[in-house]
Amino acid sequence: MKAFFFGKKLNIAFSFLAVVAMWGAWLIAYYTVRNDYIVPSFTDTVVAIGKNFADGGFWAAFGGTLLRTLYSWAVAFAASLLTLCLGALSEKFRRFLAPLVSALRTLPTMAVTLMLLIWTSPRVAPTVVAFMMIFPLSYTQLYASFCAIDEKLLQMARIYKIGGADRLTKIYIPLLMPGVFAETGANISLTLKVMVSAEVLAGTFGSVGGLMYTASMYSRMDQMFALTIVMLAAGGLLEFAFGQLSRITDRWVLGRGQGRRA
Amino acid sequence: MIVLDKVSKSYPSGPVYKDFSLSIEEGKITCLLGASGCGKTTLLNMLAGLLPYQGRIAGVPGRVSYIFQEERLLPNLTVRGNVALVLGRRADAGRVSDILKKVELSGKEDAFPAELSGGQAQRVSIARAFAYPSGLILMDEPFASLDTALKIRLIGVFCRLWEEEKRTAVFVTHDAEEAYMLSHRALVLKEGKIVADLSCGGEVPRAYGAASPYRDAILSALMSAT
Repeated sequence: MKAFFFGKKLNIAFSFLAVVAMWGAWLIAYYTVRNDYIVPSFTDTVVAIGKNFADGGFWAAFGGTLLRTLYSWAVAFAASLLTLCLGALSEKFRRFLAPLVSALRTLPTMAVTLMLLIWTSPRVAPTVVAFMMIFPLSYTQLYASFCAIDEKLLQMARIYKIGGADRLTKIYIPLLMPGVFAETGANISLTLKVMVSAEVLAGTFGSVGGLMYTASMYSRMDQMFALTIVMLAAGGLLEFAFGQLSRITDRWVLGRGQGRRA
Repeated sequence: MIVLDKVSKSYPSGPVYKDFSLSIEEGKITCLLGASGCGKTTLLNMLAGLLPYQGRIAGVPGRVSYIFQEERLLPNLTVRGNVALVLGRRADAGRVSDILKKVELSGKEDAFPAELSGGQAQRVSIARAFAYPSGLILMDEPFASLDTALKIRLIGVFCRLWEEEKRTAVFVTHDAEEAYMLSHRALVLKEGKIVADLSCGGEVPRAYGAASPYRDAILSALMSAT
């Protein structure tokens, strides 16, 4: 317990140090370059963040981006869960899927975004791109968690003829969940990153990427920095929230005394 | 009667059994002894239907309980949940509590496996095997990782439960003393063949360390087979 809290304090201290180091690097860059069009001042950026927070349009754009991110992640997760189930039932399907997942994993995002812009709209293209990025990752993680389920427990279930519903709810789902929750925060954060990049490329109206695109058109570096910091914070908050959720579910799923350490 | 008739089993590393035949008496505890790799666990797994084989195995009941060397409890379920799991729709809180009381786990019903000692976890495994309405209990060195005192207590717990229904049991061990305490019949295996078939009537468990011709015969056969 003592080691856990000491480890937690160390994590907070190192996170704080990392933020201070980034801020220091920014200040050094600012005073070296001394050009607000290339590196904005810290004060101007904070003011830009404040203006954004006071602007309803920003919140609409932020909400839109966040919703599309969650939607893309949820669809990718559901698709990977479905393909995992089908793969568990049929080895042929799993073999058929393997090269497709590999191909999706190596797909060049920029090229796909540009193609999707021709085929669809600037609002739809980033959602599809984010799905295509996150699906292979999510499927691979789920498959790894599935393979990590102790074969001896499954053998016990076969011997005692445990029914399908009990196997699913008391063995597979609980034993898959810790791995799933552990990756969810990072996956949503990554989806957000891909979404914003695709929105910038697509110039999606009413999105954070769209706001970044507009700011770049007017060389408003303070606004670009402000939006980047806000998205960084949003991603960090999502990862933190899911990290906390994962600790709670570890206890629920794995029973007392089995929670993940710091 | 469980009958194995000309059973053969091979692994890529070589054959384990070739035309192996054996009859296992119902309502008795049969013990399989032998050196590591002589095919004890393979025989148990064939009886459990976990391994394919050639030949004929008849008389194995539809439901089989298995007590493994490691407990194989689900970490997400409580002691009660682990026992109730094998009962499925037949799960009855009274029956589960009763069997947990018999294995001396009253008060631990809501504990998770991570909160149990090795001996307590193995008791849950024994409770699960007896709670399951099986006609055959298979045991693969269930007391191997326990110290002597705990082993003697658990053998006592097992025998108390066994005494109630006298289900057929097949028990694998490499410990002559365990075989003596807990079996009515001891079969010593070597390279897929029975090299000694010893029997002893009377009640189980037998007293630990007591002088007995049955114990001496098991030890002697085991020594010559290893």
